[in-house]
Amino acid sequence: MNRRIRRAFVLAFVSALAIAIGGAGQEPILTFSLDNANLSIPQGGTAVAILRIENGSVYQGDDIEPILAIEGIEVSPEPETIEALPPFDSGTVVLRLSADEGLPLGIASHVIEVLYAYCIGDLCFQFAEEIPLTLTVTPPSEIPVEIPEVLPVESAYPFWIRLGALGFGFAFLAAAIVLRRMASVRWPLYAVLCLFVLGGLAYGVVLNQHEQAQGIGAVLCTSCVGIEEAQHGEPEWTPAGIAALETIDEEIELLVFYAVWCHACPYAEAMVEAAASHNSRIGFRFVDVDVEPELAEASGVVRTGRTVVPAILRVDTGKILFGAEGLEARLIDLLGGDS
Amino acid sequence: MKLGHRRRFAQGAGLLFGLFGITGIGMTHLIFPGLHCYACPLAVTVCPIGLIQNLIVFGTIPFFWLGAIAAYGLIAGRGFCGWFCPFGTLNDLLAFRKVRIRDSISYSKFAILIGTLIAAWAFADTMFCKLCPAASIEASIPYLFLGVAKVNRPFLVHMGTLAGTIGGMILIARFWCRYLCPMGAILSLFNRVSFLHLRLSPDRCAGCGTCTRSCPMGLEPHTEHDNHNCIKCGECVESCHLGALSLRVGPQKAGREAPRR
Repeated sequence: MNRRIRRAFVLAFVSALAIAIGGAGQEPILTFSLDNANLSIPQGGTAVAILRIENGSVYQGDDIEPILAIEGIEVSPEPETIEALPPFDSGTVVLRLSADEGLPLGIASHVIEVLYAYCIGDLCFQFAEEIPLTLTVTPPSEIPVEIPEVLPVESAYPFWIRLGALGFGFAFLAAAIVLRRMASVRWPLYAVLCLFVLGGLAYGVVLNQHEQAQGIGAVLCTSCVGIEEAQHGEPEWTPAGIAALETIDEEIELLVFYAVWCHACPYAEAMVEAAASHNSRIGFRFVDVDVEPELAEASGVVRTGRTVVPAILRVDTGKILFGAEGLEARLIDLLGGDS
Repeated sequence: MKLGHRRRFAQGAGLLFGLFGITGIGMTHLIFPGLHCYACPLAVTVCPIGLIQNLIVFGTIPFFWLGAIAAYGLIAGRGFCGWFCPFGTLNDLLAFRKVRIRDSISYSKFAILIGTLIAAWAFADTMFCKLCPAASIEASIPYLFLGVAKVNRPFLVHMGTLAGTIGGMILIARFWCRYLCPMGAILSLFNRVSFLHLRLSPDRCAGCGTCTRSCPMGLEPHTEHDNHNCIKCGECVESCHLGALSLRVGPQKAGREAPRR
């Protein structure tokens, strides 16, 4: 009986792990690449940038919209929006750029912002990814622009290869266990387990998963370990709160520290955004602590080795708010509004 | 050095390793071989259960995690529970009543493990961490004093699970390790292949049951020395005056030895 129970649990564990690894959450699911991140455009001429989009997840990417706004250049994306990118599929957007004749010569860095969303059941996530583009404006040229052929690009480690590697690992392990049980041969099991250890660690390092693990450990998301409850509601300011915001008569700059996987962060971000919409003297910037860890450390949102998110820093006073619980009152206090 | 003294030394080392951040070293790439909250202000390693939940939320196929866990399993299996895990050490400190284990109920830790994985996938969140008693001690309480946490509902939930777990530990030795620990469930899968293992010399065993009375996990070591619940603490080895049980390091033989009586 016990052996049956144990087998059932092991089977359920492996099944749950298999189901779980197919899942995804509040994590960007699309990867973007530009065929030509260093683009030249002649004054009064045209250029073409090709944006390639890969969906490496089991979820569908929705309403993918690239935005590139440069003064003196008209940008026409084709298509303007990819309404749906199925799981494990790839897509391409051709950005046609037409420069004014009077556009100043020189090199400038720009960013293509790509907005998209995806949903797991009723839970939807929205993302804004930024893809850097260096644009060199050259003197007028007579040479016509050739539109490069749009070909799909294969990822170095596609999802099916990773899944296949894992499948092979478990298949060998199962075979070795059977050998040990049926024929009492123990060395194949030890050999497979050693390969499992070395292969797992090595492939994990190749995929940078050790950095991912370190990054997860180094950032404390207040709602994730139950320091506070994650706020999922609409970020609404009460009339009294709005009145208090309107009393602020000094220029205030806020830094909002967040991590993409932090559940409390979107609420904190939205509350600050809403506060700024009620008083134009409030300026803010969002800081991804995984992208700018040095800024997080220098700003004092690190507590005994952990970067705590969400955190809102008032730059001129250095005062910091942690978490998103009771945020309206705490934000008014931080901003010095008369409540 | 006596086996018991060696174990205390190793448990102390586990505790020091868990709190190594006191030296100023930040988070490393290492995964801890036990239940130890990475949100702890002094942690330098990542909690395996917290990490796997995050990887599920991210949709990452956890190669690095699997490699590390298989390494720990292969080295000592549940030996890490008995020799290294700080939360296991707390269990040891409160092990007053070494009652017999209910083997069928001990599979509940697998249910908790499976529930943890499914909940992470279903809610896209680290649900287990919100209840974990190790996080209660290592994150909730320290962050209360650091001014990050407040006495709110999640904090009280943490204190509730901690109080329940400590109560369980006092009533039943190694209560958490026996019935609830998801990390123990994972390591127990490796117990019959781990290099650190308990060995029985059948010729020397008189079947007196002294080892049974000493086992904090409530096992009968002379008949269940390769049981998935054995934490290889060596209490039975020390208690056996006939030297029938020993802790060995090396590949395990297939099949179970039984006392010849």
